[in-house]
Amino acid sequence: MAIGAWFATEFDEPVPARELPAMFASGGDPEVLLADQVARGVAILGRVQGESGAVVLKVRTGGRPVRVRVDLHVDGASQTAWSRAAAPARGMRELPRLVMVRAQGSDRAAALISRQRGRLRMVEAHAWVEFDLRSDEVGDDGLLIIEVVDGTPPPWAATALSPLAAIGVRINQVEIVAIEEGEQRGGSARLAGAAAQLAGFVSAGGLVGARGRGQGHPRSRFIVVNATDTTVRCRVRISAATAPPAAVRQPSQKWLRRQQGQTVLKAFRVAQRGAGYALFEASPFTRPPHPDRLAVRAVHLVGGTECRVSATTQTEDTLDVVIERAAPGPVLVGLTERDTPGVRRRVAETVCQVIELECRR
Amino acid sequence: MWLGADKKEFEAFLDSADVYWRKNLGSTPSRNYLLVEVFHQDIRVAMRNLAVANAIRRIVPAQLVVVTGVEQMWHDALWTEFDVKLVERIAAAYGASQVIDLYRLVEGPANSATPSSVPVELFGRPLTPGASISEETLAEFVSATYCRVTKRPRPPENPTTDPRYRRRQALARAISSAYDALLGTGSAVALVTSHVDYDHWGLAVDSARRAGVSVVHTQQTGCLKAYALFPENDTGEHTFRGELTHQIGAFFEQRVWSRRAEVRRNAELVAWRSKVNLGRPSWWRGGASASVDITSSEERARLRTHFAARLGFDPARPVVAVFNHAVSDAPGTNHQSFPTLADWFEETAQFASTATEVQWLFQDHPSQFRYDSTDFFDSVARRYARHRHMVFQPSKDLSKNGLWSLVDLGVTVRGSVSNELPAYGIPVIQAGWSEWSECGLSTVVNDPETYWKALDAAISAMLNGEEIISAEQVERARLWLWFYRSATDLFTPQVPHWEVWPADYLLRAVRTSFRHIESDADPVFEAVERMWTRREPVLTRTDLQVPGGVR
Repeated sequence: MAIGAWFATEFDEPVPARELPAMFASGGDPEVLLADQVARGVAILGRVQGESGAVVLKVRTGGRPVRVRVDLHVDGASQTAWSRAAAPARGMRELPRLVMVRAQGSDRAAALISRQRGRLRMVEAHAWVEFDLRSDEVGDDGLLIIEVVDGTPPPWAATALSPLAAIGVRINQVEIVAIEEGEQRGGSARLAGAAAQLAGFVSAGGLVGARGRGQGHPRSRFIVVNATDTTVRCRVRISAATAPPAAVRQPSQKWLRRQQGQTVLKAFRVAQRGAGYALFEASPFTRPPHPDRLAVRAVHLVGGTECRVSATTQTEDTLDVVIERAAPGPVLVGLTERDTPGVRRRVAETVCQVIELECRR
Repeated sequence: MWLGADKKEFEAFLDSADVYWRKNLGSTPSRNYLLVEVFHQDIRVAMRNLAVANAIRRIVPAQLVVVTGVEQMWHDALWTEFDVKLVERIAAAYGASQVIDLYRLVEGPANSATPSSVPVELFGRPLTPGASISEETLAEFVSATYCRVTKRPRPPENPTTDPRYRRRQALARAISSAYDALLGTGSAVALVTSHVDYDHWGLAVDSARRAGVSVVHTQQTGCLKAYALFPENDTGEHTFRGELTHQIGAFFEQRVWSRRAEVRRNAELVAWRSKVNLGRPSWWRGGASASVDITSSEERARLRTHFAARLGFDPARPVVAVFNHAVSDAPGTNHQSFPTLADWFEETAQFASTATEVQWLFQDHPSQFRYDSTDFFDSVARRYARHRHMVFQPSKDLSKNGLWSLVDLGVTVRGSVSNELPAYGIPVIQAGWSEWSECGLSTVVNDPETYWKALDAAISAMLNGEEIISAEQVERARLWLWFYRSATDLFTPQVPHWEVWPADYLLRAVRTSFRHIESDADPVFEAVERMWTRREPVLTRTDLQVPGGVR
């Protein structure tokens, strides 16, 4: 008898598999098993607690290929959980999180999630990823493992992205639908930025707000392209944004951990944000660089090899980035300034926003 | 005493305890006494000791004598705050006639040239020490205590060069002689202790055993759990825990295994509940919601592929998990196959480096930082960093689901995984004894030679796809879970479950019990009486009679 035969007891109830199309939106459902370091949610699937987190969904695919859509979400509690584990030093900033979504043990899609920095408050961010599984990938056991792990950024991007990126990320819901054999996502499509992020073709910080409807302000100089087509054209708008806020830190003093202390800290953070914004508005060093002065680099997040990318300047502040992918899997695109940066790092940073996406076969 | 409790709550608790015990126990003219230690800063530990002690005093009239105290090295290693004044007040509320500050008593003699002459007075009369401890046993206690307070896996080559070691030696000599005086008078009824290792606990147990005094050992988990060693059942061949291992084994065989059909369903329920973390002794695993969600071999296979990829293992080949101990935790407290826990771990790693046909996962103890300051685990890990078939990691990095889906064989000395894993069909080899090691749920080896043989045999069996755990072992392991978590876990309103915390909640619960619940038929009195009069090795929730009715 193989190990595992004794795992069940008389008190374990048989867990049914869900039929397609399936929507998993609560961690309390019996079809949701927690594989690894995820806290069960009630109105969401769960929240990643460790360096990676995995849930197992029981779903009956009936031997059909499926399309999986995952809604990831970063909120204030994500940052608190992150700071508990990462113990950021004074002066560290809240950087964008690059996370990889894996299914059945292999990398599928990546997401770049970053909270929008409002004038006073930070606004939570949603990111969607979507990927297809072949008919043989979910077996008769009906177990689908969805895992959220740290993306591995290349050295040129590593310092600008958050370490331990997966800690605290919410897995809000997972939607699974059956698709036809050979059906491909996307195809020749031209989408606006928000629609492209919603469809999971690109990820550039995620959509903002608790429901995630709009793109909000641009907030990082990175884009993750998940569209499966070999050539993807991305039109981005270059601008400057305030420097990211200081990372949430765990208060060292006992009294600061109490309710009143937390209120004081919160007020302090709000004031800090306001001051940052005022400084940004007043500073003469916040003009975004001309697109000509930007270098574009891209890397395959699976395998870590460089990806061919070219950029053509369109207008004063827009740039067309064309990615020609050699291998499948997500691609991380980053903008860097060729020479000394025109903006003062402590006040502002160069950011970009996807305004149009075109996939070509 | 370390107590994050509201002052008012604490005063009210003391007040109600005082009234309760005055009315339920009263004073006795007897000159006999019962010795209780309060060396642990946690009030939950003290409460358990005192509750058991008073329950015994209801059967055997005796005075209550409390030993307590704190000392710098122990304070640095373990305690955050230890307030002897608070201990004195709690002891008085539970009816103690005398509180002895042991460390104040032995401080003078330990600094003098003759540490073994300690003037001990009880009820105003000086006591004369009885027969003293053997040099060999004393040296073992000194070494174990030294390792513990300095957080190292084994004593250095020449420990006497360290002044801390010499201080522990002098202290141990003085402490032992004080205990010989306290327990060797013939008037001591019993010793109630929360720990049985190191100098201020272990030496008391040793003195008690030599003087023929019963020892009751309360546990720091569940509601109220206690083991007892009575002089008439003490063979004197093993350590305290070694003796109990035999007795618990026999008790389990006679009273639990024999009625397996009757309690099978209860055992199943405990096994089901144990899939999540039921608290100390905790099986800490990654994730706050450590639970096992997989229920079959197919599900295990799916997760195994997933976790094997993360650790760089081949899911098709067997995985052996070696669970490192808190390396300085009570060295030599029970029989071990290897001289120290560190020797066992290092030699197992050495063995693993040559056994490449299987993969080895070395898991470190989650509380190791409290027990090791020498970077022991990482130093061993570095030695084998180039071996791809060996992975070293803290146990919290792997969730319970991950562990269960990977491990094909567990290896430990006395860790609680050796009763957890077999309950779910994963075989375990134990290189030493533990409470359950004679209950037939794991493969227990007594010396290095049989240990290597057992490992070799298990590995070749796994490679041949043979079964190395029997259905009976699984059943016994589930019965043990029931025995541990239910049959020997006594619930009484005056000792709330260990998890009733923080201190304010606990004190309020106990105060309510003292003030509002009539004490008639409080289970603690009945259960302690049963254990005491029948000389049973363990406190039981219900009367586990021997089938057939003969006692």
